[in-house]
Amino acid sequence: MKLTKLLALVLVIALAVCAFAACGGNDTEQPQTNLDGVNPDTGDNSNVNTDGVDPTPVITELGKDTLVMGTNAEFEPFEYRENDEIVGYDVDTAKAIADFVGMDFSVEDMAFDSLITALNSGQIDMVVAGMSVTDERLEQVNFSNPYYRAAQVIIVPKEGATVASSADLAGKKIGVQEGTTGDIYVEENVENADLNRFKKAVDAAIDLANGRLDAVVLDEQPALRIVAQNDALTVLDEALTEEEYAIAVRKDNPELLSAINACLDDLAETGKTDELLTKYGLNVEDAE
Amino acid sequence: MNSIALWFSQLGESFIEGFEKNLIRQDRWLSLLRGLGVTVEITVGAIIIGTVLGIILCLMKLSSFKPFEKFSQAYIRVFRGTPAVVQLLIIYFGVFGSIRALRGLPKVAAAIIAFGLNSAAYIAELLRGGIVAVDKGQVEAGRSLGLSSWQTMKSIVLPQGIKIALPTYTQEFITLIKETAIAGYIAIEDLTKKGDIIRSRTFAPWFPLVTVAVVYLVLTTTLEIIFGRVERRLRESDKR
Repeated sequence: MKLTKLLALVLVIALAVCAFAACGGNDTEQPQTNLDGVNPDTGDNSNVNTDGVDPTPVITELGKDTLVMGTNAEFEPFEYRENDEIVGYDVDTAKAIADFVGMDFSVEDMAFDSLITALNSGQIDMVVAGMSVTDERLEQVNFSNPYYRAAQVIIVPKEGATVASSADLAGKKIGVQEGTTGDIYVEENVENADLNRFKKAVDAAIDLANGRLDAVVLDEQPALRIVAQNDALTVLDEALTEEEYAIAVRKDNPELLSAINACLDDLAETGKTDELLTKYGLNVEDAE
Repeated sequence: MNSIALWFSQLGESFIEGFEKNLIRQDRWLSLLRGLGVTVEITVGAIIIGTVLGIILCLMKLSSFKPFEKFSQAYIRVFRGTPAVVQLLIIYFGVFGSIRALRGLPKVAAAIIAFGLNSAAYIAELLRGGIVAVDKGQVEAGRSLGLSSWQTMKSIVLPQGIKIALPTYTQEFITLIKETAIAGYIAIEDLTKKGDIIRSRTFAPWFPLVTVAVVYLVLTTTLEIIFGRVERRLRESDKR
């Protein structure tokens, strides 16, 4: 009897903690810009005026000197490790944003599915991780103007592939990266899929090369890089989705959001965007 | 007064909202339940492999035949001296990945083997601890009664040694349950991973993970109660 009481107490405490946290979570969502009915396809989620932004207020608003970028450095060419340093198109863009607002810059590398949680709990200031704008994510965070057009593609083995198009995916063993749009796409659109969610896309690719998966669904650019490094794999010429990458910021941080948008505009106007795209082998036409 | 009442009603509301969003919507509780099944499957499989292999390793280490002793010693050193997550990755991506015949096996099998091999090292040592703790006089008494050394081990030393080792064995069982949480590294959807997947969908920092933690707690507490009973039963014989 004593034990059941103890268990009950533990449960009550745990649930109270949940509830308290959920309550705290709501508070941060109040001072937000209204993003209902945003259409990610048109990229029309920039309801913040970006003209003539004075960058200085950001520092005072954030109350700190360092702008912390959160990312998952397993996503070449947007973010990846080179000599143990995190580099990539997103990293260079984020650095430019830090310069723009006159702050120091640092990068936090974490699991992709933890990024939004980390953002909302204040561990990072912005997510620059090739993150596609989705309705679910828009409920949690604000997105900057989109900066790259992306798509989900299918990776298959070169020889003995059992998947030739998206129609063949049903009932197959499919690898994805947990919490990505590829994960959500397969979960929602593929019937009876044996879904294998990896923390890293590369691990899914290894399993595919080892013959334990039929296909991997992943963002096009990283997929092309993985295939380039693995002779046994190839990418099917079919786009499963149309997506747009954007930078995520907390809803209570509209100052940073407008500064980011202003900086993205500035980079595009000065030709820096094209320069970075070329540097990382990305398609200039897919930038926005 | 009013504000306190309001705070409580808000607390209740957001709790219900979180409950609905993280557990009810899309039958997420069912997904957690399936994850719990996988966690139990891996743990039970691994504890069986670990116990059988652990007993063999323990006897090898206690044997006077040098190669057996050395092998057991090396095995225990390797598996206790390296992180379980590294062992799991090596076994899954390395061993299971490079041997063609093993590729068809389900991931859960790889996890059961990895955790079983790991657990065997700890179980061998805790059993040895129990056996060594049995008074030397017991062996002498057994031998002087005309029992062979194996008979003495089997009917006198082992039963007492197991009784001494049982609390540590319970501890190892509980550790194993918690350790299986790293199975998500090889895309196995155990309890922890299921909670993590819900978190990646709802972005709730507390609800899915605390729910998972509570389920683990219930699991380990239940185990503790069961083994506590067994221990008490075994201690009956200590009363004279």
